[in-house]
Amino acid sequence: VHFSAHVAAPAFAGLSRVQQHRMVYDIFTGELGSAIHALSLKTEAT
Amino acid sequence: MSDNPLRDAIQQAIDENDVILFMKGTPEQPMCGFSARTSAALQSLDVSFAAVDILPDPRIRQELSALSSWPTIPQLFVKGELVGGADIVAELYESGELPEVLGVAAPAGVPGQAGADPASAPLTAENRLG
Repeated sequence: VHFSAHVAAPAFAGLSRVQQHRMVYDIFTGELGSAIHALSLKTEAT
Repeated sequence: MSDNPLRDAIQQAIDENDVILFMKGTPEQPMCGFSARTSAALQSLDVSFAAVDILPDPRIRQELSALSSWPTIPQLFVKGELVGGADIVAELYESGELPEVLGVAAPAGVPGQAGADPASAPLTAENRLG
């Protein structure tokens, strides 16, 4: 299953893209790569 | 060295290759659309990179993700740092930042290191020069 998400959050301010994506990935621990094959992400600081 | 030879081999491959892409399949025969797009972006920039196919052994992916704290494939590392997965590489490519991240814009680049030790099976890093 593929999902796509655009996440904008003040918490992303000052973080690198990798750090921003990790924060979102962490919510899905254990599911990404198994139940969820891929999650396309675009993150943005607000 | 830890007591985990596979994780050590992965770390060594990351350390020894300035640009290394962990992907499903190979640049010639990618086995996943995300890996295909990411390796195509690198190839279009004419950058030398090592490519590691994670499919032959599921432990490669397990250890890589444990090491990088990144759950998905592909994963691009430049000079030992995780640059990101397919989305971030695509973003960097589209914004024109990717060559700078890869260091290909730099003049008189230092020749890349040779690939990882082929004896470190089941992890095989194929060095792609030129």
